[in-house]
Amino acid sequence: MISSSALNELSKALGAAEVHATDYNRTGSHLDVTVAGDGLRAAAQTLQGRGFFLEDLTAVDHRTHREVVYRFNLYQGPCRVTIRAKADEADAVDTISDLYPLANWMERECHEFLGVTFTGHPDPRRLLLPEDSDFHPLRKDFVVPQEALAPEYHQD
Amino acid sequence: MSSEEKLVRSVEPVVRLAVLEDILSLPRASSLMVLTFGLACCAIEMMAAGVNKFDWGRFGVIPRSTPRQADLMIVAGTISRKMAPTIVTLWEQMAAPKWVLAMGNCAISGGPFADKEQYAIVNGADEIVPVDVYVPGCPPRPEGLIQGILALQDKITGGQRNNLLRRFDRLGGQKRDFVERIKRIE
Amino acid sequence: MSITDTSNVNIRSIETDRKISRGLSEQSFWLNLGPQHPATHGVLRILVRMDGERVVEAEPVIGYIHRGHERMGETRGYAQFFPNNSRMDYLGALTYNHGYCEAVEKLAGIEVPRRAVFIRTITSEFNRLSSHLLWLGAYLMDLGAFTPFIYIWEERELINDLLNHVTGSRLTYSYNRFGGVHKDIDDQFITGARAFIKRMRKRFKMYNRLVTGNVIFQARAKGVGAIPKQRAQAYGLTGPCLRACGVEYDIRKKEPYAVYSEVDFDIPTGQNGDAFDRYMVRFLEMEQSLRIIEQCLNRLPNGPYINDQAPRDLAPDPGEVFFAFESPRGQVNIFIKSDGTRIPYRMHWKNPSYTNLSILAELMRGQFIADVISIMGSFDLIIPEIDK
Repeated sequence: MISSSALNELSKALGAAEVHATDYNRTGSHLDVTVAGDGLRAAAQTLQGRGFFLEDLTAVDHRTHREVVYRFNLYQGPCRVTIRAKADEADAVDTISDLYPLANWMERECHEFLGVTFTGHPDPRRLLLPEDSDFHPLRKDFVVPQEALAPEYHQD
Repeated sequence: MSSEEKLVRSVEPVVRLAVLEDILSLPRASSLMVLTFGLACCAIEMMAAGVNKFDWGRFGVIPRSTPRQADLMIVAGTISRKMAPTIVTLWEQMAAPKWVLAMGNCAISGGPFADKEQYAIVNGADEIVPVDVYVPGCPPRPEGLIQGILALQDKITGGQRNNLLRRFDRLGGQKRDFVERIKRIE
Repeated sequence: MSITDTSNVNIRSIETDRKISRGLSEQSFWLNLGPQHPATHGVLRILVRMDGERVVEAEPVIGYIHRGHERMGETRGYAQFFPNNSRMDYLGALTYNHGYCEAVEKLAGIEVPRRAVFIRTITSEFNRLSSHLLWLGAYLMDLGAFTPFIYIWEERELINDLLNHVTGSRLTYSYNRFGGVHKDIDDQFITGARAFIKRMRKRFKMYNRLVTGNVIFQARAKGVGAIPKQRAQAYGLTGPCLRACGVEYDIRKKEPYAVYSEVDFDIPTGQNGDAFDRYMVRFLEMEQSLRIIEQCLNRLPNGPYINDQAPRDLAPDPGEVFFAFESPRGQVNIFIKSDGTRIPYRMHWKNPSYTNLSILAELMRGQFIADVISIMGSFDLIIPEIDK
């Protein structure tokens, strides 16, 4: 388990807007970092320099805005850092796919399901949905398109 | 000609041979070459139906990987909207006479994934290909799949085939004691 | 140079490009691997650009079994989501059940009695064993060896009998409940499990003799698809694919849940990260699973098998939880955000085959197409868990 002094040192190194230690036993994460704007790439670069790997990348639709949640972890021992980046009005967040190769696919998936654009992503095509889909299924205001709905659920 | 009629015409043979057809139906049913089209979980039970404990080979079923050499397509698993054109292509690549067996609830009607919030699946194989036999279950037991194959054989031969094996008892009539079974096959 | 037609009835070429050197014209063609394979891997499509027998570039195309699990998690209650997690990874269904229950119990603060925790561990390890067994048979069948495929089904059917007796299903189990398990294990299960362990240990010797030393298998697996350790770590691989590169990372040891901190087991690792090492890691993991089951059976406490106070229809307090557990393929991450209602606000799963597949494009470059089949088989991919 990671010591609190190491966590403190990591928090200082990240130097982001809000860093606070969370209860690992309750939430599963050691540090919770909220970044804004360019802070995301800086934090991701700091973590990469310390040997963290990208564990998870997803977004949450808060109805008024989207928030992208990143999880980083160390192979040597559980030290989970959660980074939250609020997408701006155009639903855009910087990409980290050049730093972490796994982010390439994960950002594509995040884009097609929640509509978050990752500026600078080399290949923003659909990953899981058919190539010609234009809807974002995990948005809270998503309504199943008529042609995709089974006949018995059609509102006739 | 409507598309439905076109579909039916594409499956019907051009030349019908009267009594010879009845005679030919017996070898067709007894040696079904199956295109094992495992999409999801049902694929594992289909594999289980093919190997040593359940063994569909006793009924003449041989798995083939290519649709050009198959006459039965077992749609085992959920059909997603991205996959549906592929299934139709595979079905068209099979040569007549051909049959389709929909295995599992997903291939019959969408299964546990069919609800009003579902955007990604096709509710059943019969929306895209004509299905002959439906085998329910999630996943169906391998014996269930074999019963479906035997039902198809009856459908092909018109019931001429007096299939004594359809009366097999799932539990075999004896008590299920797997400790004994493990020790016996040691 | 005149352009000659390259149509070949077996290959659907969607693009051909020309490379002219020394007066000869060479061309590469695009080959479609899938989405219809022999049924072992599922619906994965890999577009490969080939130069003769060598792969120049590869791109996996996924989404052919996308069923919308995450949306289903956000539109139905916590308990109603149970069938979904077994169908995400149907070979490791009990491990997914287990992980999902642990995640929700962490979120809602539900206690689980000791006996139930042991039962969960035993059944999860049986599931891990049967998943690795099927992988073994399927991988060797891809390489052309039919015998191990038939042999492993014997073991799998015995495990299925045991688990069927206790859970009621053969493949897609929904055995765990919030607060425990659905049904208690009885003496018949315990006797059967002990007899199975004894039998399996003898069978491992047989599999070792049959497979590990086989010259053809070694030629097709040794040195094939070696993943450098740095690349594996950069991609965030987990599970046997990573352990074959020499990194000892297993959630059961790093972030123990259930009774994994109380039982004694090793984490096998490889050195080269090639297909043979991935095979050896999984083979040795099977033996470790037997060890865990045996220890759990010896220490099984008496007591209730479910917490009766746990509510059936949960509405946990608002909050978030992140839980990681080890399925037979690697680390699974569950992220659940609750807003206080009976339906989760956000449920996200990240499955190990997703990560493992992402490195495949890079790994396949320059390989022979036959080695590509060997690499794909050694990765142990389950496509529905990639596509959710």
